Amino acid sequence: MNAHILLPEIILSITAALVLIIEFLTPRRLQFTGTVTILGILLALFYDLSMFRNAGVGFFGMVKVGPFDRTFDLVFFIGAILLILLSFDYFVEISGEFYFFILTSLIAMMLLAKSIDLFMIFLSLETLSFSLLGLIGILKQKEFVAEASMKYYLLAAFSSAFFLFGIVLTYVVFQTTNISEISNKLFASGLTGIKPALIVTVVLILVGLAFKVAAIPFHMWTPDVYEGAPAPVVAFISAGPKAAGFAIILKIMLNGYQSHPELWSSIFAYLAVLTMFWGNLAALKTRNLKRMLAYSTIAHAGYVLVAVVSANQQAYAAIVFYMLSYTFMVFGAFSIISMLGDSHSNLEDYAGLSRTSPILAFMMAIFMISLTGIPTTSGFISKFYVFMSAAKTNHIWLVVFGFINGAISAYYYLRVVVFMYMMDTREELAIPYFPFLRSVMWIAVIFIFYLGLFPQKVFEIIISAL
Amino acid sequence: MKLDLLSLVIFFPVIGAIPIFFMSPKNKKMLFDYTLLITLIEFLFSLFLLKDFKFSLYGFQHEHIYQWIPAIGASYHIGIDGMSLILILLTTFLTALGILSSYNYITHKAKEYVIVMLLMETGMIGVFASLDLLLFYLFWELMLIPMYFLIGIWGHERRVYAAFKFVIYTMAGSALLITGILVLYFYNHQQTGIYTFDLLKLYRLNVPYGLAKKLFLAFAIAFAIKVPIFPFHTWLPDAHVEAPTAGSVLLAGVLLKMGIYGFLRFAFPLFPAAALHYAPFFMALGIIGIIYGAFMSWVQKDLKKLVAYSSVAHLGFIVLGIFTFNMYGTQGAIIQMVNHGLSTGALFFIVGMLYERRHTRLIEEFGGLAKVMPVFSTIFGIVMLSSIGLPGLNGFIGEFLVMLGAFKATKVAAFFAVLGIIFAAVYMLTMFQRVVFLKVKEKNLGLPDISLREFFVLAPILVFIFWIGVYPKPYLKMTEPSAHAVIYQIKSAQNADRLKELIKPNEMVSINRRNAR
Repeated sequence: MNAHILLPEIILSITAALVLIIEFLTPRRLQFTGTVTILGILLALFYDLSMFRNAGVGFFGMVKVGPFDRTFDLVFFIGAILLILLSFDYFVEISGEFYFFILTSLIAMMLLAKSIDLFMIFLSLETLSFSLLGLIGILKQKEFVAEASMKYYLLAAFSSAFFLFGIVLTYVVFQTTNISEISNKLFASGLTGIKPALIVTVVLILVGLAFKVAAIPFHMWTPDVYEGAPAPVVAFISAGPKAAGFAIILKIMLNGYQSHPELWSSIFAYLAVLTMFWGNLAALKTRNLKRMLAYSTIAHAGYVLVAVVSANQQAYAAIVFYMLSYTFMVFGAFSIISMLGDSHSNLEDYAGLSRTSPILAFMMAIFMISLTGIPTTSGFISKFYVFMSAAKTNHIWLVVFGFINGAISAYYYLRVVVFMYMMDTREELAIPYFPFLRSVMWIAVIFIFYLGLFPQKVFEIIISAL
Repeated sequence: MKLDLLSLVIFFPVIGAIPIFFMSPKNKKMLFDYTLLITLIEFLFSLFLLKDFKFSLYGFQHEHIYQWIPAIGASYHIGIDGMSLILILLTTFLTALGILSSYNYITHKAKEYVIVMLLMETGMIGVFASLDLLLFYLFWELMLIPMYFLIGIWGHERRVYAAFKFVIYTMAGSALLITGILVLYFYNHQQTGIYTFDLLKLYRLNVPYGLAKKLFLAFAIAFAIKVPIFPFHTWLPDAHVEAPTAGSVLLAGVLLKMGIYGFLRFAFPLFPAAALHYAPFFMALGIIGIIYGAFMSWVQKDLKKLVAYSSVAHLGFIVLGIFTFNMYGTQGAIIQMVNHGLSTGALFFIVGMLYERRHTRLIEEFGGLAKVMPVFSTIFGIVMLSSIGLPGLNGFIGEFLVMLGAFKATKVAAFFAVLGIIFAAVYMLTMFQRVVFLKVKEKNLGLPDISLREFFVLAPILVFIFWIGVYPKPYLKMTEPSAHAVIYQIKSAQNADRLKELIKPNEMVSINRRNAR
C-alpha cells in the first residue's frame, strides 16, 4: 500500500484526533490547542520537506506523490500556520474544533494535490468543503455567518453534484477513473476533433472545479462568504483551497486531457477573460473592504486561469509561485482587517488611518500596491510570471487583457490608500496592540518584498520540482 | 560584490530615507534639512559620474551586470551614455531644488513627503540607468506610487481625481509596454535560443517588419502617454495643476522626459524600420501638440494650467525633433529636454512661490508685481524668456536645432514649428504682462520679495539657463554619441530598405548568405 508516502498527512490526522481529545479534556484553551496544532503541522512539514524528492504511487494507484505536489503543499502549510497565528488574537474564545477543521482542510488540500484518481479527488473535495464550512460557521452567533455558511454549503453541494456527474460520465466513456489511464486511452484512441461526450465530461468536471477557484459564473458565493465569515478564515479560504483547486485543474486537464487541448483550452481562455473583467469591474463599486477583496480574489483567479490556458511547464511553476505570493498578500491584508475588526471593514472606517496608526496604514498600502501588481512587490513578479507563460504560447491578447485589468484594479486598490492617506477620520478608532496579528503582517510584508525583489531562489526550487 | 558608483547614485536616496523612519514627524525643519543634505550629497555623487566619463566614447559607460533573476534571464544591468547622464544630472539637480522649495509649502505629513521624494528620485534615476528591459519596467512602474502619493496627499482641491487619472493612464500604457517586452523576449528566444531581457543583446536582434510595427506601436503608446503626445495628454493638465510645486517640477522636469527617453533608448533602436514608417504620423502629432498646447495656454486663467499646457507645446517640439532622424533634430531634442526641465521647472517654482504668498494662481488676481517684487519679477522674466526661446538663453539652442532638423526633414513641419514659437511668445508675454506689469492690485501691495531660500532655489537654474544659452558646446558634446547612435540605427534600417528595393529577392538571399558567413 506504500503508506509512508502519505506520512505528513498521517501525522496531521493524528494531530487532528489529538486536538479533539485535548478539547475534550481542557475545553476552550485557544493558545494551547493552537500550539499543539502548529507543532503537528511543523512536524508534518518537516517530513514533507525531508521526503521532498521522493516520488511514488500508493493507495491502489489513487495517490501519486512527487516533488511538484510538495511545492503546492508549501502553500497549504503556510496558509494554515498563518491562519492559526491570526486566530490567537482574533478569537477571544473558541472551541478546539476550529483547529480540527484547519487540520482536516489541510489534509484534504494536500490529498487533492496528490490524488490521481477522480474518486479520490471527489472525496478530498468533499472533505475540504465540509472542513471549510466548519471554519466559516465557527462563530455561529455572529451576524451574517449563517447566511455565509448556508450559501457556501448549498453551492458546494451543487458543484459537487456536477463534478460527480462528470466522473460518472468519464467512467462511461473510458471505463476508468484514473487520470493517467484516461490520458493513455485518449491518446491511444487517436481521436481527432471534438466528441460531444468528451466535451460534456470536461465541462461537468470544470463546473465542479470552477466553484472552488471562484471563476465566473460560479463565483456567486464569494462576496457573501467573504463578508460574513471571520477575516482570518477568509484569508485562508482565498489562499490554500484556491491553490488546491488550481492544482487539480492542472492535473486533470494537463495530465488527463493533455493530448486534446482543443477540448478545454479555449474554454479556459474565455473563462479567464470573463473572470478577470467581472471581478475587477464588480470590485469598483464595493465600499466594503472584505467584499472588495472577494471580487479581487475572483479577478486573481482570472489571472491564474491565463496560465492554465497556456498549459506548459512554465504554467505549473507560475501558478505555484502566484499562489504562494497571493497567500502572503491576502493574509497581510486580512491581518489588518482583523485588527480593525470585521464590523469596521467599510472604506470609511479606514479614513485617516495613516494619522492614527501610521504603521498599519503603510503596511496596508503595501498590500494593496502588491495586489495591484506594481513592481518590487511579489504581486508584480507573480503576475508577470503567469502572463509570461501565456505570452510564450502566443496568447498575446490574454496578456494584454491581463495587464489592462491590472490598471482597472489600481482604481479600487488605491482607493483604500486614498481613504487611509487622503481623508480624515470621523471617529477615532483605538486599535489595541495585537502581537500575533502584527507578526503575521510583518511576515507577509517581508515575503512580499523578498519574492518581489529576489524571486530567484523560489523559482529555482519550483522549477527543479517540475 | 563591490558597490559601483552608478548603483550608489541609484540607491543612495532610498538608503538615505531609512533614518527618516526613526525621526520625529514633529520636527519639520530637521526632516527637511536632513533630506536636503541627502539630495545634495546625491547630486554630488551624480557629478562624480562625470569624472571618468569619456564624452567622445560611443556605447555605455559605468556599465555593470549582476545576476538578478537568472531563471528568466533578467539581470541587474546598468550603464549610462551621455543622454542618460545628462538626464540623471537633471534629476538629482531638480530633486534637491524641489526639497529646498518645499520648506514652507508642505504643511502636513512632512515625514511621508520627504520619504516619497527620495523614493521617487531612486525610481527616476533607475529608469535612466537600466539596460535591462525588466529592470527598466520595474523602475518605470515604481515611479507611479510616489508620484501618486505626491499628487494625492499634498495636492490641491481635485488631487485625488488627478492622482487616479495619472496612475490609471500610465498603467494602461504600461500594459502594452510589458506585453511588447514579453513578445520581444520570446521572439529573441525563438531566434537565438537565449532567454534574456538584456537591452544590448536585444539590440542585435533583427525583428521582422510586420512584428516590429506592432511592437513599436505597443512601446510607442506607452511612451506617448508619458510624454504626453497629443491625444494622450489629458492626464497632464490635471496632474500638473493638482500636484504640489515640487511634484509639478519633477513631473515636468523629469517624468515627461522618461517618455522621450523611452523612444530614443528603446523604441527607435529596437525597431528602426517601424520607427521610420510611423515617423510622419508622430511628427504630425508633435505639431498638433505644439499648436494645441499654445492655444490652450493662451486661454488659461490659471497660471499653473498655463505652464502645464505650455509643457504640451514644448514636448511637441521635442517629439518633432526626435522623429526627424537627423543630428540637428535629435541633438536639439535632447538638449531641449534639459532646457524644458530647467525653464518649466523654474516656472513651476515661481508659480508655487506666488501661490504661497497669495493662495491663488489666477492670473487676474495678480498684476504690477514688478513694483512690489522687483527681484522676483526679473528672475521670472528671464525664465519666461528662456521658455519662449530668446537667443542667448537656453531655450533658443534647443528650439533652433529642432527647427533646423525639421527643416531638413520636411519643410512643412518646420513651418508649423515656427508658428508654434510665435504662439509661445504670444501666450507667455501676455501672461507675463498681466502678472508683472499693469497696475498694482491692492491685495498685492504687501507681498514680500523673494526670500533668500527662494533665491537659492532659482539662482542655480538661472546659471544653467545662461550657461546653456551662451556656451552649449559641452552639453551638445556630451549627448552627441547617443544621438549619433540612434540615428545610425535608423539610417542603417533605411538603407536596408533601399537595398531591398534595388536588389531583386534572389540576390538578397545571396547577400544574406555572404553576411552570415
